[in-house]
Amino acid sequence: MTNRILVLIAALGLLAACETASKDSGDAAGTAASSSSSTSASASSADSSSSAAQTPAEELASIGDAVFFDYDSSALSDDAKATLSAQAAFLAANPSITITVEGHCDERGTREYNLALGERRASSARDYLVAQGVNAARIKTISYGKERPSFIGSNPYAYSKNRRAVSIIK
Amino acid sequence: MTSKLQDLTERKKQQRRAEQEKEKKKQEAKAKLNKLLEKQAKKKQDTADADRQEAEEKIEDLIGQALNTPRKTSGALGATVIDQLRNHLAICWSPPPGAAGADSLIVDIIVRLNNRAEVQDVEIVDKARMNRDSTFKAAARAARRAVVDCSPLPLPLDNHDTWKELQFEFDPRFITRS
Amino acid sequence: MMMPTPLRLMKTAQMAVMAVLAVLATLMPMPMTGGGVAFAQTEKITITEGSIEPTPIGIADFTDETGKPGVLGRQVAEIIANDLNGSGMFRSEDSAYLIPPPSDPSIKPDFSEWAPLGVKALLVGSATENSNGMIQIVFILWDVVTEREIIAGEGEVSEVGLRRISHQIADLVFESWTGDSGYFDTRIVFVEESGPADKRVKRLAIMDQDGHNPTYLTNGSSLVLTPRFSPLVQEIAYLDYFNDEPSVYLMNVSTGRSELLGSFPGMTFAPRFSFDGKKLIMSLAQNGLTDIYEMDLATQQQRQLTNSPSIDTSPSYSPDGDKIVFNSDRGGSQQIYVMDSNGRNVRRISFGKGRYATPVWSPRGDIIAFTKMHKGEFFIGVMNTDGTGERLLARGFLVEAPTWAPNGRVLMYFKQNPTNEDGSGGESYLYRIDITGFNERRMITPSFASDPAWSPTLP
Repeated sequence: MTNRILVLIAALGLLAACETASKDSGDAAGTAASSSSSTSASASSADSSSSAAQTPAEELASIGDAVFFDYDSSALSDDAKATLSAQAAFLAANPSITITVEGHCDERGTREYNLALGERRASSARDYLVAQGVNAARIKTISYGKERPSFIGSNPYAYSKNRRAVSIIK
Repeated sequence: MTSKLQDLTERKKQQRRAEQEKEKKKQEAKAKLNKLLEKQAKKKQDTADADRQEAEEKIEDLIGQALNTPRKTSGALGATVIDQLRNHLAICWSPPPGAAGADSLIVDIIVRLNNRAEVQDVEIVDKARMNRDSTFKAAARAARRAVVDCSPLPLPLDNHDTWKELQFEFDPRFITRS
Repeated sequence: MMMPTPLRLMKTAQMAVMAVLAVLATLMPMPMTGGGVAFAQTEKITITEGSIEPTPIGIADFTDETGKPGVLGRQVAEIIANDLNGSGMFRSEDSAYLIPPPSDPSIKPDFSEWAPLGVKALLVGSATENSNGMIQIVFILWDVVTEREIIAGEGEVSEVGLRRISHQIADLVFESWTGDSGYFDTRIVFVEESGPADKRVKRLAIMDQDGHNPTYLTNGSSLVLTPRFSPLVQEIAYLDYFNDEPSVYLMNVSTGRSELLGSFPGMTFAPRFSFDGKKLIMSLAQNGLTDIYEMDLATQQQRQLTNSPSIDTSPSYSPDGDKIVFNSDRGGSQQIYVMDSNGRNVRRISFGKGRYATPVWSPRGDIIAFTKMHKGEFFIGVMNTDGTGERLLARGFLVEAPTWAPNGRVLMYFKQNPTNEDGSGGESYLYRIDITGFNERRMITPSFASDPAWSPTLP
């Protein structure tokens, strides 16, 4: 248990570092948008009142429900691995929860290819979670290709935010 | 002097070689065609004639393409007049662009002219194909339209006998080249 | 809505042409065997250069009962002119309306009035209401230069059928003049898009090829993408996210009913029919791998055609069914590959700069249309089936998804504008262009649109 909390805190630290490096975490992850941005601003408060009034969805968002990819890539960065490790810990702590990992792309590709690429990203994240001990039966994947951007705008920053795999509690 | 002679003999040799090659290809193609036709004849005698005609046209085309030799125009008209005709007709002739299979859409027409070089009558040589092939029909109409639109043709008026009847071949392959 | 409109060619016209031919035949007792045989006395002059330009055509407003241009007749002429102009093969002369057409199509036009406009072709006709409340249409296409009748026809329609019969006349004009098959009596299925970029609602819609009569086929409750027409018209295959299980569905366009196609263990997408309509080819993505599968539509039997760790998608059959062109990143980046229809003999054909995607085999079989991405720009282009002869036809911030008109002369695709951070922009529209690369035109659609798919010619 203590181990898990440690991992969680470490992950949060990483996330905070990563978020401050970028311009804004804004509405990076669709439905869980506002909670994730408030988390990075008050990362210190998270460890004191870990899951006091948070719903599981909010908790997942505070851990980091999205990982991001390079252009035309489904390789997991160190940041992405850290986030997914934290997600794995969260899933281990909440054994009744099942998730869907959504794979997404930026708009700079063709529709059909991006559907395949999004599936590859979702599978990549799913495989990592399974390797961390999460039962594969608890994870569903779906690809939206470039059809569901979370960040509006035709610029490199928006693209970097849209190339993502997002874990959603079902 | 000698160099010119050699040149001439060389050219004659080339000509002969080209002719032999042409003849050989024709024979080969005809042999193939005959085999094909024998088979078909057993099935359907009535369609065979049309097929042969079409196949022969194809052979002519293929040989023409293979040898890449523009047909000689060394007759009474002279090269200058023929160039003038070509330039003149190039403006009036607008074949359907990108017509499917432009290389098999060569149209032969016979044009009859009065002594003022005005087009009196245009005859499409291959009437059978005109009736059965709508793509060819459109190409043939474009050829006929070209000579009528270009009438009178730029010809030396004192020489009516040499051009009162002219045969043209409209070859639309420039479409696929461009 | 799409009831068949009987349009038949006129016997009188055909007989007249035959008579002319017969007279010519008697005048010329010259037996010509084999097109290439030279004339005895004359020399043959070979013409190898001409001009390639759209045929200038005069399209007279069709006349009504009074013998003057009428309201319906003007509508008919406008529809035909729009079709023919859009093909890139014709240019209708705007000032044609200045010349009064013959009061009845059976009267031979005074060509000396039309010739100064530079028109080579002239279409005249009438649209008159008969006692049953139906509209009687008669038309004749003339060659202004040779003053010959090219084609004539007549038909009867209700007012609802007016657009369709006009498209059919445009098809006959196109076919008789160019020798190529027409494509104006066709429809386009597409994805109609509305709402902000991150919450776009996408619905399948169908319209006439000129953008008229749009109708929705789905209600927007689930995400739908990439519709494709069956060559048998009544069906489309498309991707539907119904119940969050993205899969290929088949829809009967006339009944609007859909069914799931087959049962696959992952997401099926990128469907396309074979040219004989018997098979469907598509991608299956599972566990990060995307391969190409073929399904026999009659037996539902499925067959895996590619098996690689790469993304293999956007497959498209050659018209003879022997080959399949597809998109793959097996060489590192998205490129175009061709394989035999059994999945063997895979070879790359795109070697230009950039990434290549969405290859679509032309119905003529000779060229392949594609999307290309290079240096931050998107292009629509065509190449020979061996990858040579690449020509780029359209470009933009994002252009994608070419589809062929059934005669292989015109491409349609969609273009999307950049989106601004405030959510504005990002509009997508359908465009068409003829394969000579001229005449790019935007289609009028009810709102934003993407993923067009051209129907075959309607039965």
